[in-house]
Amino acid sequence: MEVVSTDRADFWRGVKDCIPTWIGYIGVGLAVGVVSVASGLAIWQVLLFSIIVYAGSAQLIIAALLVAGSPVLAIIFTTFIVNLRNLLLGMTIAPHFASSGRWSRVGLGTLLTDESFGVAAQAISEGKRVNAAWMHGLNVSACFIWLVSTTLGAVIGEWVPDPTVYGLDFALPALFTGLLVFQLAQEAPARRKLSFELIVTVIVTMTLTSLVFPTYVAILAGTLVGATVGTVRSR
Amino acid sequence: MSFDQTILVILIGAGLVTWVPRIIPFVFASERPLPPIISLWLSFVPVCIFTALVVDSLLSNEGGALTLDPLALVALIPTAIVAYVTRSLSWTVIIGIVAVASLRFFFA
Repeated sequence: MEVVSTDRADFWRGVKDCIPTWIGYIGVGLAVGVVSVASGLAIWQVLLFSIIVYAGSAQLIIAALLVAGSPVLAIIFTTFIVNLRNLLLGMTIAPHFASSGRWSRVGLGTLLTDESFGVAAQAISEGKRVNAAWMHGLNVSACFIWLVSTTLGAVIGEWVPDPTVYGLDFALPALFTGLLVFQLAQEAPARRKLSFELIVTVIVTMTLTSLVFPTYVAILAGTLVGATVGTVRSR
Repeated sequence: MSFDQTILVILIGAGLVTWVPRIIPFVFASERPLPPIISLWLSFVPVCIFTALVVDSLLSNEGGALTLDPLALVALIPTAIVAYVTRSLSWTVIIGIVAVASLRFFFA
């Protein structure tokens, strides 16, 4: 009983720690809903995509590729590349949940997003108490907000063909800027100096990659090159 | 294939290729520590991915031409300052949105 109530408290702590990401989800979710409906999907199909794919950038790209009339296999392959960064995110935080049950871990992976990773990675590096119940709270509330906001976006999209969501598109870059600042602020000076070098490395790599490839390829390339340069430079 | 059948195939395919990389690291997570070089490499992932996601939202290469959103770039400055001063994600996001919306109101 004691264990259950602690888990429950940790779950709700996770929900609370997720709140700053909600504005981001709502902004992007509305946009994804509107764009998906504009690309020919029915509202219930938008909801299905949010449940089964559950990835903002991928859902936006799928909608764009549907409009462009891309072949089915090309759409699936693109989705794979766009979402491959989840493998890196998972590898980074999964070891912290190794003592949880297998199905609990499958649940953690299934609902992992950039945002829940961001909040979790930050909490871990600050030395906060992080466990599966807390992470489930983070993930489940994020998923709920995503389903509601994409569906709402789809409904709005049926009525208003092109609503401009002023500034809401900046919620995500603002969120990740915040997480980046928190991360840098707590690093030791030598490590922070290296981090600044890596930020420049990622920006340069992404700019060069974007000249040839779509920007979602640049995200992967920038992260892989950045982490590798960091490893080489600190040895 | 009808449109609905096409959508169904994309839904299942896209769902699978997204889900499998998501769960693999969690399914195979172990309490044995990773080799030091791997943990070192992974320790750089947060800074790099946060940077990459910010850059991604500023850059776009629609129609083959690489473009930068200058107002969003400027808005990063007050956003970063608020993050540093308040250490609150909620305030960072709110001030970021207000900053970019005001910049667009006056300059776009």
